[in-house]
Amino acid sequence: MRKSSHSTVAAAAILTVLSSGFAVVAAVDSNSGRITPAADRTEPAVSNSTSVAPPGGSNASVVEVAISGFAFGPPALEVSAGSTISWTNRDNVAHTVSTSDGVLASPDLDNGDTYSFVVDEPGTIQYYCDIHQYMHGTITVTP
Amino acid sequence: MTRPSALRVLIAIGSVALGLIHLRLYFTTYRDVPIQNLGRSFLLNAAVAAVAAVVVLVVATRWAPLAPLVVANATLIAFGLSRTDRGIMGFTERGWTPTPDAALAVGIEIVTAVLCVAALATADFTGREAPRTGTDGTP
Repeated sequence: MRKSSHSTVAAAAILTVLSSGFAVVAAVDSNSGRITPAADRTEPAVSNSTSVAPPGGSNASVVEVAISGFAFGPPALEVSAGSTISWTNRDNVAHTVSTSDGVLASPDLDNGDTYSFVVDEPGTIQYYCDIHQYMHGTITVTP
Repeated sequence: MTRPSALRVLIAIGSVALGLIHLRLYFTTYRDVPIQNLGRSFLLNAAVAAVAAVVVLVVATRWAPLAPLVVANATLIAFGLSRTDRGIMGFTERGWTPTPDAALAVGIEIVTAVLCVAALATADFTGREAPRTGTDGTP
């Protein structure tokens, strides 16, 4: 084999090792539950934030939000205080329900997983998916 | 016409498989991403992988495995970039989702790339070129 051939094969081997290693390390590293600090985010903050509480309050209505097609549906909700919001991921990839101040901070929701919380104070909550940060939703809580 | 070696057939199978996974991912998942070029890149990957598979089977030069090698490595790099904070084309993903497609695709890409390097290193040709024969049929 000529010297130039040796160089090409060596370059191909090095490229393969580097790209393979990069792909595996990036996947493992990104899967380690990293949460971006709120100060690093540019998403709207939560106003008149609500408190997280277990779902299923005695007088609470339950509002379902489907996460499907890389969108929250419906993207905008108007609910009364005390309602339970329940998000269910219908996509094949994981999503989260997050707010920049951490009031909403679901774990990664795989297909079929549900995250619920109770809104107990009037105001507006703007939330997003921490993985796909172009996914946004708004909850307007009325008294 | 020479017959492709077993190594090249395996490379072609790997290339087609990774293309099919990306095609499936487009139709089941990523065509909904509101970053149009991201979804299209999955279609492009499938098309280019299919072309690379044909190249490695048909083109009778020792450098033909470079085609699927480039496709496999470019796909691995794109996958890795999508798992970084910056993402790729503004798109980020986390870990090995979608399951099991992501892990399966990465595994196939690594194996295909390694096979391509092996084919290049061994100067694996498309089988053995048929011996030249004279007009009287003698070698």
